[in-house]
Amino acid sequence: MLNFKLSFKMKTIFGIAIIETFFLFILVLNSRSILYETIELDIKDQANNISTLLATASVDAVVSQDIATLDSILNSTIATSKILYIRILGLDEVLAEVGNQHFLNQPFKEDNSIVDTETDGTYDAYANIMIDGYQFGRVEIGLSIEEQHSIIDQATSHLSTIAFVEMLFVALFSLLLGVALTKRLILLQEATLKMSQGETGLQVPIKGSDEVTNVSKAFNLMSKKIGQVTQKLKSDNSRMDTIMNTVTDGIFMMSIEGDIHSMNRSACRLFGLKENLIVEQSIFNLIPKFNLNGIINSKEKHIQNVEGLTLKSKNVALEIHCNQMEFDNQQYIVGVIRDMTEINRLQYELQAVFNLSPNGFLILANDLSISYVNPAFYSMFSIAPERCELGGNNWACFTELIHNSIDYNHHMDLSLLDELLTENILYLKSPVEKVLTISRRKIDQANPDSSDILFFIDITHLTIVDKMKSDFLTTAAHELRTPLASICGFSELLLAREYDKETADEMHNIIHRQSLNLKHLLDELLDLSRIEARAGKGFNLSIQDIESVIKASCVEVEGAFKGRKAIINPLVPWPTTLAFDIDKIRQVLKNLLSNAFKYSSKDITLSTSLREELGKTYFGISIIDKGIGMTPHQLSRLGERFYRADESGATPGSGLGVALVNEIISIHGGKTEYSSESGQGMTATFWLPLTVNKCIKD
Amino acid sequence: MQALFIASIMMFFSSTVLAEGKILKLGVVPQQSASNLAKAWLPLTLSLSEKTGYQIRFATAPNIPEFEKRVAAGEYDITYLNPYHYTVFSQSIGLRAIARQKDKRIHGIIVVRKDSDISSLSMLSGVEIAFPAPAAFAATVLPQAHLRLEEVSFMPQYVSSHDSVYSGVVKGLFLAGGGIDRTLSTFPKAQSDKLKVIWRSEGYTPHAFAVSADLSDEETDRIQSALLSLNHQEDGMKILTRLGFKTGLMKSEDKDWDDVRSLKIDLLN
Repeated sequence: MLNFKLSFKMKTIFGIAIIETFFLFILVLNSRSILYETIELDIKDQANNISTLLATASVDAVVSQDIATLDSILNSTIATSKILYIRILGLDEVLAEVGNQHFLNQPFKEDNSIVDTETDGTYDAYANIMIDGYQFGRVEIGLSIEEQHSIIDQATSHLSTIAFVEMLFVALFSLLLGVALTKRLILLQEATLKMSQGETGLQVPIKGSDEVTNVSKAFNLMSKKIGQVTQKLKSDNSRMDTIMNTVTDGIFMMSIEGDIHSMNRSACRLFGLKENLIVEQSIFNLIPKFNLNGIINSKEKHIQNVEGLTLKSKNVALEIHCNQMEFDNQQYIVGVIRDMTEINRLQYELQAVFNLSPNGFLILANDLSISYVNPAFYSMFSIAPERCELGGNNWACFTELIHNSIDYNHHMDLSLLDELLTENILYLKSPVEKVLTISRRKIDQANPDSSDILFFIDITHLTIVDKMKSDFLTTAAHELRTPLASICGFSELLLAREYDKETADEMHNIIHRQSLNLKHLLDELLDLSRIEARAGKGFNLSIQDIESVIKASCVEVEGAFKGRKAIINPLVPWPTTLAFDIDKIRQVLKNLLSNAFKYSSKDITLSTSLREELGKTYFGISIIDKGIGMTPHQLSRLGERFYRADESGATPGSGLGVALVNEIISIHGGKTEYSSESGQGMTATFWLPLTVNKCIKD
Repeated sequence: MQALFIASIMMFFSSTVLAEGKILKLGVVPQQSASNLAKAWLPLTLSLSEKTGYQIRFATAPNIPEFEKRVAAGEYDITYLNPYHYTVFSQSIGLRAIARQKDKRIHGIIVVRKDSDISSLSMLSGVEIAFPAPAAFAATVLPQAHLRLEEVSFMPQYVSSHDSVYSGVVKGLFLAGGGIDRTLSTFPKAQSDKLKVIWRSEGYTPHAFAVSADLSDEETDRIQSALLSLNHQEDGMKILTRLGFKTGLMKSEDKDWDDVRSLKIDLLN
């Protein structure tokens, strides 16, 4: 552990010292060992040579037990070498021995290395005296190894001294080198520290031409480059910050675990966060239903209409686009958030407008895909919304369904597309006959590539009214002309010649009656016109006693049809809260009672009833006759102006009475109902709403 | 009776055991260098050891006088010695001859240089004659005995070995030298060609294998049988041939050396 706290210089010195010590120690040991081995080999050789030589030289003397000769050999040998003792043995006894008595007295023990000699101080060796493999004796010698030990000790001492001095020099050189080297390294270190604290563009002095100089040069170059890059990064960052904080959309970056790392100003504002509160916020705190797994695992990176939670616990509708990307080997998710609250509100409002619009419209892109169709459009063409999907290639689907509805009596030559893309009138035959006007415009007028919006306005009603007016004028002219033709014809006859009085009176009566008819016709026409024109404005609705009104009307009409009775048969009590215009209801009763009497030869019956409909209570008055009745066709046309069931003209009438009745009752908020079977009579009922809570007159 | 039987059995085993371990010294007359002599005699000693069960050890002496001293001191149990020595020590310490080389008679010779004028013993009067050693029987004792018998006065020089005698004569250091046929024939031919034999003695009983008077008869028999058994074995004959006993060995007894005794030599007294 201490090593880690040492400076580079000291580490170098200690490192070199340890290595030096280790290898010098090995060197000294090795050298000593080699010296030992050499000396040992030498002494072994010497001992073997001497003993073998002696064994060879003394073989005859030993075999012949020539002691004198042996003594002579031994004495001459020991005098000329460093032999401590020599002993020659026969098979049973010592034949001769010379040398130091101390060593001679010790039991012989052969030595195999110098180390063994340390016990007795002599190197003991022997050689057998052999003849043809048969032993006759043995030579034992002991050599002095003092000198060898002395040489080894001396050599070890010298080697140790040299090693020690060498270590001192190496340590000194390491120290000087370390100082020189670290001085410049310290400069580099200081510069690096300053750089790490943010200082840029630092330069260290360049001296010499060694490796450290090269490192210094490289550092200066690196420092310069880092300075430039840092400056550029700062500039880029500043620009990026400006952009990020200027965009209206919120931008955030988070880990794939959902921990938010950064947010731009718009995102902070959106969630009501201060910038210092971003740290350690989880996306789930801000968007509880954020589908993080969905974003990571699927390609769907777009989340629509997810609810966000601001710091003040206010919900905001959000649209999020996410992207997974990698920075510094870490996976991040970058998202763009848009506050959809206002857009959604506008969309809902627009949607409501579209849904409620009686006009149909669709949005058609240039590639003929229909992206939007409002409910009125579906209704106009009677298309079930599920038949054609919106978006995509759906033009064929829609046009096929539209085709089915078109009345081709009006559209012979034009293709449907031409019809639709040209402002025109479209006639439909099914589900009901309709007339539509089509208008078309670009959604974005300035952009020719933008989608088209096609408006379909239902003008059927206007067309019908026009036709009705036209028909009415034709009918009215015809109806007015009929009495006028009689008046004109008979008056011309009277002016042209003289008639007897009876004939002349008859003709005057006809002219008078036709004049009355004409007047009646014009009166009713004017009434109807007035009522229509004023749309109920001239009505004076007030609570009246319907019973007395009915009774008076019956008496009045009975007078015109002598002998006939209108029998009142109330099935429910008379209401006390029925509001109506008394004059108009009298006219209604008069018209209906007259019609009943006209088309019936018997008495007629009036009955009353009540019914509930859509939370409202209606009081009904039915006029029932047992007359000729009406066919279903006649009944269906009843109410048309100037329509008369009796086309013969035998029954007097304008053909406007029922229309007038219908109009009056309609203005009262009531309804009329007519039922009949041909030859069985007819029942005409009108219902008037009870204005206040049903209040029954007892 | 039972105890006596057990005792006799034990004695038998103990004597056998003792016999098996007994060390007997075979002393050989130093006719050559001790190491050469040992090399030549080792096979015989090993063979005898094997056959007799004794540990037979080869021994010799540095020279004849020392050999004589050791024989006289009774150091050897078995002795191989020349005829003269035998006659002396059979008498003094009771050596008993048991064997000798078969059909072998020993001759002494006197050699001179081939270019020498000397041709008879009488011409050697006053001359320095080389001999191996004073007690060398064939090379020294026999020639000197005959020279004395013929009353020739001479100056003996002892040069330790037969080879030294022949070399000395070849080199002209001596005019004549005593030797024997066998050693002359083994002397290098280039030099032996420069020599000639001027005298050869009559045959005498050769060297004797003799045992010490201390050995029991049984031991003596065992050794004698072992020696003689070599004649009948191939390996034995090889051993004997190597020692120069090409004809083998034969059983001998003391009186076989009476011919030597008749020369009445008295060198050791």
